[in-house]
Amino acid sequence: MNSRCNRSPVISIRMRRSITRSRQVSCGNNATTDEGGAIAEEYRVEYAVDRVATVSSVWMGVSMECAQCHNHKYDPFSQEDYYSLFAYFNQAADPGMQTRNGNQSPIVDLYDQEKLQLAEDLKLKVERLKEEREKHVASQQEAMLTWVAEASKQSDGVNVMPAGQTFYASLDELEGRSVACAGSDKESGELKGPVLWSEGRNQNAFQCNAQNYIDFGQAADFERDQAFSYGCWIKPEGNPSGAVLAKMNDSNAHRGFDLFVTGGTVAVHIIHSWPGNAIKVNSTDKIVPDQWQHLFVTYDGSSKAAGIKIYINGKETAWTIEQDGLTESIRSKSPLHIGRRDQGAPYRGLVDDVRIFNRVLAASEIAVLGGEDLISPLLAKPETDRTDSDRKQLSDHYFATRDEAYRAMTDQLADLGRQIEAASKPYVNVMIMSDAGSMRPTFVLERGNYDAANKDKPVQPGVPAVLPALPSDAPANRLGLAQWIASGDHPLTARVAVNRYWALLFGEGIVRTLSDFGAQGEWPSHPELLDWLAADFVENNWNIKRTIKQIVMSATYRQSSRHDADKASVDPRNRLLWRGPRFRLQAEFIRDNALAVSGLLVPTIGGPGVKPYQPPGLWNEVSLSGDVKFVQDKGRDLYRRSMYTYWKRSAPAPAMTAFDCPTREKSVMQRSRTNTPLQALVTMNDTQFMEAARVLATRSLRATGGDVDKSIRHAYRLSTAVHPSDKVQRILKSAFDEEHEIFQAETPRAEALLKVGDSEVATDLNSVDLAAMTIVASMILNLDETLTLP
Amino acid sequence: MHPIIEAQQQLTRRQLLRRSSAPVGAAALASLLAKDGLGANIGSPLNPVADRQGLAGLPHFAPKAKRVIYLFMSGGPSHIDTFDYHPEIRDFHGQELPDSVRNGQRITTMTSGQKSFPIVAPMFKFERYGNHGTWVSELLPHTAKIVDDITIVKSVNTEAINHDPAITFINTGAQQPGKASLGSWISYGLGSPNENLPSYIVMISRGPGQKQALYSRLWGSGFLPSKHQGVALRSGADPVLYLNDPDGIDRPMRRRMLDRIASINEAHFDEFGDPETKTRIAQYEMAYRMQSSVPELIDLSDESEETLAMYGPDAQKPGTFARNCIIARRLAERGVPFMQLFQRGWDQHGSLPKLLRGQCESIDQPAAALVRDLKRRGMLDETLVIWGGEFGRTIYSQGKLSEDDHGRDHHGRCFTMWMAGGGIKRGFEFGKTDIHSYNILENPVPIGDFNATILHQLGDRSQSLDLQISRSRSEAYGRRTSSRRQRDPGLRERTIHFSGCSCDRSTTLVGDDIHTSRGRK
Repeated sequence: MNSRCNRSPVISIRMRRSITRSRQVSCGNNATTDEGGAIAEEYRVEYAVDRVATVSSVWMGVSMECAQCHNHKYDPFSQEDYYSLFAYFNQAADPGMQTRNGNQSPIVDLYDQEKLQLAEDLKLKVERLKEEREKHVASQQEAMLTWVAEASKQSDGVNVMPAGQTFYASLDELEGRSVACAGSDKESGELKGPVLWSEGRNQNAFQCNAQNYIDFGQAADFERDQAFSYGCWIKPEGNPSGAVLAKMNDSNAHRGFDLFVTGGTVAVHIIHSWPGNAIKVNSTDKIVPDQWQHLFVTYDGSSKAAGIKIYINGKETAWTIEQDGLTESIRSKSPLHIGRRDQGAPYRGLVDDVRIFNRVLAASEIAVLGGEDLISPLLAKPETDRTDSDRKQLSDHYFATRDEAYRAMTDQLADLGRQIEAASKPYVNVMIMSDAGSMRPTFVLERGNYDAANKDKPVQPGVPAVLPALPSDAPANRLGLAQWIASGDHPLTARVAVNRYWALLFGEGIVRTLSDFGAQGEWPSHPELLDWLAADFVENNWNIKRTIKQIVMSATYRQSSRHDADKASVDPRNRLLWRGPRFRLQAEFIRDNALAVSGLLVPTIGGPGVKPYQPPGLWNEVSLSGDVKFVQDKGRDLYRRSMYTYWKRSAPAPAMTAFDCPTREKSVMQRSRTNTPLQALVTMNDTQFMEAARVLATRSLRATGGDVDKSIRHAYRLSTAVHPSDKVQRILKSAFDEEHEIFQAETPRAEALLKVGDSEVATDLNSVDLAAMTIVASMILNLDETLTLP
Repeated sequence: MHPIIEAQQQLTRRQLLRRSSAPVGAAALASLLAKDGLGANIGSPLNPVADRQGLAGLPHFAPKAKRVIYLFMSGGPSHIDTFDYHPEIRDFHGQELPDSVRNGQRITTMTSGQKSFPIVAPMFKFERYGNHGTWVSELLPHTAKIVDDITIVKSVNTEAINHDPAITFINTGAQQPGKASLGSWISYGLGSPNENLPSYIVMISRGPGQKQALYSRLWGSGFLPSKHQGVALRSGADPVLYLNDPDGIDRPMRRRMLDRIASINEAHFDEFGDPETKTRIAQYEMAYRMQSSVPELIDLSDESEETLAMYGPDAQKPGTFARNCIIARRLAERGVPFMQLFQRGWDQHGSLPKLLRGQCESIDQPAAALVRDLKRRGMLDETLVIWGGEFGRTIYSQGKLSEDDHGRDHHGRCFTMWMAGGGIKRGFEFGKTDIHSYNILENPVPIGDFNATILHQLGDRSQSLDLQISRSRSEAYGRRTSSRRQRDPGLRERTIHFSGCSCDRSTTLVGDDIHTSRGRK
């Protein structure tokens, strides 16, 4: 499936030193495909071809495409010229294809400045809280020492189970497939594959033979910003490689987490998508084959490798980092397994006493689980024999397990850490254009085929020979190309641009073929005017607003568009501009105009795309999976300007395409301007337009105190910017009177009519009056005068 | 001169000339609009343009076909399991596909990593039918009965190997999106005798098999004016988008509204003299008439029990292929020139034996009934019916081959489509493939030629249109595109702007030069 970001300028300014993120966003115009089976290189080349077409037609008004396969037949562009221009875009870093898991690099992360500030504030809070906690520790020394003294007198009382256990399986069954557990959505786990049990470390144990595993259903559902700890006893059979326990979806890029043994080391994976967005660490200490040992992992919810600790037999081991780039969710719907992942990585050996906790356990607590109680021996030591390290360990144990205030502060610190992490992350990332690290050599492609590079015809980045040369100091990348295009001396750039602005305002360009200034294009109607406008545009620093203002303030633009039979007989197409412009509004303006005159329009600039009214089912009819539903927005989002309407290329907004809005699959220089019955159906029946009619009627009645004649005049004036003639006024008034009578006789019809749209129906107006005026307003919105500029 | 703008202006002027003297309202259109039904006024064969509103000069000669019903099987039906049968292949079942057959040709990355490519003979029975003993699979018992009315083309081939580029290619002539679709070209070039209905109508239905996405670009108008885009006829309450009047507005009220709008627009025209104003008045009238003609079109209550039974058990179920086939016939009766029915669900990468059967069942009876129904009504001669998808499927198994199960990957080197009516031969087979149904031995038909054939049957000789939807050409009609274009500068002008370069580009596939006519340099 092809998709494409929705911004047009292809020339990136990435190479500039000071580059803002928003500018990087504006250079993204990446078409991509994620279709299974596609060959990435074919698409990478096609997308470079598309970029050449876009740049040459948008900026230079020439179609270079012919020269992709052979020398251009009409314009002076050779195939070598084409591939010289192509060479600039052959450097793009995007690979032509993407997965269905989010955006394809290169991307830029965008941050919310307010949230970044919040993160900074929270960091200060963390510092303060840490100081507070230290003070607390200092103030509680006496209590701690008292406890140590008391505990020293007692024997085994400290050996208690740590708090926060969310899952436990003792694996003591010794037979059958049903395996008792606590903390799952199921009452018991189910052993799949060969039923093998064995004598265990504590009573019995589950024996994995790489063919079997236990499925514990939904358990241990942690997100990457949550702290958790997990582990068990294992007796590996030789030096196996596999997942001892895992909640991981192999088929979705291994999302989830596991405890993994391989080659005698212990590895921990915490994954969004392997390998790019994941954490993996490998223990430096080894486990011993064919012996019981206790493995335990703690993770503090920081999304960093540094937040992981691995304990072998209660002793923390050092580790090395293999991946450390986790930034997105690790949640998967895969069940918790002992003995393998969702599908793969089977383990071979014994497993006993699996425990999972929803917090980071202290070393001393893990020691308890691992049967290596470190605290009891210390307590048994006479005070005088204890080392500083012993004392610290006792102190840590006391605060971590016995001091509620300390634990509360620790929890609060962890919570703050998560808040900082959340506030520091980008709110969205966007695909952008950037160049690959090293220059990709470019060759002429025979007949334009992606796999037919002619190695005898290498080309360097460059511009068509017929056009002015590049500045001698221009870098051989897109920056150099951009500098050349925007140098002010380029014969085409400014002419093509002002011609396009002219066409926007007059309906046709001075050169009518907006995208073809070549031999096949049309000669300008007013060549000197075009030259003057172009020169003026460049001299005034490419100021678009100024150019447009100059054009609209000209006497030519401000002429009446009235017909004149004599002049029309000489110049029927108005190429000599004897009258002002007159043409149908473009798709977006038709809708925006109806929203604006009714007062519904929300003129806010920027923000995410919106989904206004659209008939149901359109997305799903073409969707791959059959369950892609269009969900209409509510409230203000129904009335945003049409440029913000969400654009789904496989099923674009039908009311827009009816009015010749391009599909945005490739760059279009000139829209068609048709006049069709389907357009009439849109403005007559689309909810958006009927609602606008009702709201326009409401606005007009209110503005005139309910005076019908004045209301009609008001609505007409708003919609067309002129007053209605007496004749028109009379016709509209007769419409009001006649329909008023109908609605008076059949009030339920009036009520039904007024229900259209989500906005509230006016309660201060008589519904029959409002319904009749809504009919008039709908007629006004359908008039030629309304749909046409001026 | 921009050719599209030029064409629009010609139309506008023509419309103006024809309409400015007529009174406003429905009566004004009566003279312009062809009557519904069988007697649709197609105009004089030699100069039908005035009535059809197509390009000046088209059609170039009396066309064999006046309309097309395109039964598009989205996903890529297996030619091996339906029509392209070589009994000898059963001897090789389960054996490895010889390298000499694939010969280094590229295949999709879904199977390019497979270590083994076992040949799978069809797991269905085949028998010979009709006067020429045409092989047809047991999956298509009804189609088997119409083989004497159709031409089966076994050598269609495409350059694309995946759905999106392949379906975009066959429908728009280019693998990358953005070009105008076949139906929109036909609307643009040849126009329609019926102005109460859109000239290009699309209907979508789903079979039980594995589906692929569709895209509205497949019936879009690309760079052509949007009036030529395919209009989807849907099964819900609004068969054409925005067709129904809002609650509270009944037909008489709509009529009054339109009459008054027309009076105001007339006054406006008197002041500004813009021919577009006149056109707008007419378009609103057409919208009004469409509001009646579409519901009447999809109301099957006037179809006989016998006719409904012909199309099978789904005939009256909204949204099914069977019902869409009946509606297509009704559209044909009303003179609509291009109807395209998309039936989804032909992508059998796995579980082919089970899923292909259901998929075939969903189309077999209705498609055959459509041909028979058109024939008995005397309409088949002037209606071109086409059946086929964007590519075929591989002789080798995708995934594991078991005793009763396997899949097949995409295969574009050759696949089968059939055509009927519209001047196409009856009981004919064209093209021949090797026993692996992998490579073409005789008479290759690239997509471009297939589309050119459609246009040829409709009376387009100059290739002004088929250039647009065919990028690789063969000598099937004894013409070379480039020389043709050099001889006809007008043609060149019409085509060059629409799509950049419209010349043929033979994207020959890896390691093979056989099937594209122009080969490598």
